[in-house]
Amino acid sequence: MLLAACDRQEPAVALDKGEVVAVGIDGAVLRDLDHRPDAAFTRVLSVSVGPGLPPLAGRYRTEGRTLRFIPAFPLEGGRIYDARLDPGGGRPVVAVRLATHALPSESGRVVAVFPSGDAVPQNLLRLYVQFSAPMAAGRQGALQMLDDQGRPLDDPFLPLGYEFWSPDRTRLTLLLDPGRVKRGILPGPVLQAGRRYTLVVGGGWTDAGGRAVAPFRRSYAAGPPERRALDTATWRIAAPRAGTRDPVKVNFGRPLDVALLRSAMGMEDAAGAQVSGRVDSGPDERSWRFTPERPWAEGTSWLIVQPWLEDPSGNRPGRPFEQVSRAAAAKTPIRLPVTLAP
Amino acid sequence: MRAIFMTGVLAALALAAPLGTAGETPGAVVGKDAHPLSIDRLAFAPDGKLVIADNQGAALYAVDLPRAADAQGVKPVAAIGAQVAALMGTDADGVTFTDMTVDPRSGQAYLGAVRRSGESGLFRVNGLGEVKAVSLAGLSYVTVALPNVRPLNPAYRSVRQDTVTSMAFDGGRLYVAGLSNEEFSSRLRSLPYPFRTAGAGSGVEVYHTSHGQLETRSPIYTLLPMTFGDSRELLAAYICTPLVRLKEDDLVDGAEVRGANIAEMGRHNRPIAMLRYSKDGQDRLIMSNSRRGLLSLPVSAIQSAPVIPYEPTTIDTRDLGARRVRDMTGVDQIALAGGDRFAALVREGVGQVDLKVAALP
Repeated sequence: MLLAACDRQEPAVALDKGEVVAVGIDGAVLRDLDHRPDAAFTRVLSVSVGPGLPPLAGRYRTEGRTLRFIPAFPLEGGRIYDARLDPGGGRPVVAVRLATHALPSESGRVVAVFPSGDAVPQNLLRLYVQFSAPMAAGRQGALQMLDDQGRPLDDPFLPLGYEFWSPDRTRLTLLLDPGRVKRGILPGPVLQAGRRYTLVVGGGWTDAGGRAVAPFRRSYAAGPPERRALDTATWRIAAPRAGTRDPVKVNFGRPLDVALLRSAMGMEDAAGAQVSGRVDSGPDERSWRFTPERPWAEGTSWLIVQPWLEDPSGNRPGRPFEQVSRAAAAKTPIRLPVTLAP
Repeated sequence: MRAIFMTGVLAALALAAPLGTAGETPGAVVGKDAHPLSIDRLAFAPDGKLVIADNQGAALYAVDLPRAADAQGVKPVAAIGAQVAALMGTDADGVTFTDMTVDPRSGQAYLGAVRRSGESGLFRVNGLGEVKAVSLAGLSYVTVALPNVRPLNPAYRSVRQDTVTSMAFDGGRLYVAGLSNEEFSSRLRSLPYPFRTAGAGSGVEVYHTSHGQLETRSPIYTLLPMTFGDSRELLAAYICTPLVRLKEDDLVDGAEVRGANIAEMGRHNRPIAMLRYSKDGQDRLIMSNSRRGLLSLPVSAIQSAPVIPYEPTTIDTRDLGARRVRDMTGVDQIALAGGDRFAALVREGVGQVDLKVAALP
């Protein structure tokens, strides 16, 4: 009796937690699907982004009298998918449109660009664009660098055909073409000292959900090139008192790379253990502040600098970006004493 | 064999500390149902496994694909971008291809793609020109971690990531070129294959001298193994855009290696992929480029090319007499497709990508 009732269930298709379920399929059709390849299932139930296009990749599962389609790639929000069910048993094909949940109205936006200072050297190698939410891949073409006449520069960014995202795709690393950063390469550097440039995040860029990103502009004044290696001997280090959680402050006297200030510098205590703490970079990334999670122990702590610390032009300790010899380059971490007053 | 299921952050943690167990390849991790976080570069290994470079997960996977039972070979597919997008449930401009390679056993093409929302997929094109999603479920794999640099501050959650730009097999080793999203350097790793070691080591820093007397850390974009007499070498193409010869014996972990610069492929140009083939008894090379299209040149020109001296002049193009293959533009990835043919992913416009198959020039 129950089976008969099920048999009379109207064929229907619906969304269920990111999957597509179909009911009302003829019992013989369902039984026949057991152990058949996916292509057989697709003839009964298929989901597509539009007419004439191949169905979505995925797998099928039968649950009693229900057929379930589990897409290989999660259904996108704010989209309408076409579903087609051929229930068999002489019943007509059901074609429905399935609307996924609407996307939140607020789209991702640019929250910061580094270097954060107004002035950059003309041999700037690297910029970071920080977004508020994960962004769509493959959209770097929507980025432009305009000159002071508002004209877009010809291919300012390294033509890698690859985008350098943070793992959560909220931070994009932009490399200016090093073939043009280097000296002596025609048609000359990307940026020219004495001129202003504007980084534009323009139309066509969407976040991971497909929502357009609000346009963003950030202007820089290009100055003389920075070709000096980093020299840790010139850094001014202000030590806190032992027993406090006051920060160690380091002034570099020039802007350094914002990301490497976090990943390539740290503190060790007198016993040689790494210290956990919070890093803040100062205005224009010219300074660094390290606030420990626990009070400083007495004795000498150490500021540790990896040899690959760079400024935004790729200059490293003892090793400018462009060089003839690597003799002065640091090869192991640099250790600078930080003597804590009792 | 133990099945290892990994997702998201868990995968990164697991890969940072490989879980070799008794009976498995020491150091490398053996498992079933690979879940790479991204599919960025593809290469078939000499043992027939497909090696996937997973940049987000900082790992390499060697996946044991079943032998395809459907039509062997590869046929051209018009608007393959729209087809792959449809399989991924999005529109044509919501998908970007990451790489393409051809399985030498079946002749079928394999493509990596990433959807706008970040999910990666693997796809296969058969001899009928049918495009199919490839599931890694149930397939066994071996994985090795590409070790990331640990931040000095235990409280800092690093967002540094190494990116594999190119992979090439030669002489029982896999060569992997990469660049990070933070510091700027060209890193080349050499791993024994089949994967044995726990990680890929610190790699080799590669320099070349070009454009005057200045050394550069510019990244290698694509690699091609070459043998000249007894000398095993890698031909490396850089972004800006010299061709450089590297001796494989020099590529010892931790070394700093200077390559011999033998050609300049033109400014603003990006070499994308290189293939070596034989035609009419001549050993040749074909190279796809972002600006200069498809170039073809004899291998003998590479072998006999003098090293470009460290002269304080600007060098524009010394391309060893490379010939432009004029009947194909917009070529991105290329792969040998058996016989005298090659497959090419060709961009016709935004969201419009075709798979073409053509005779080698």
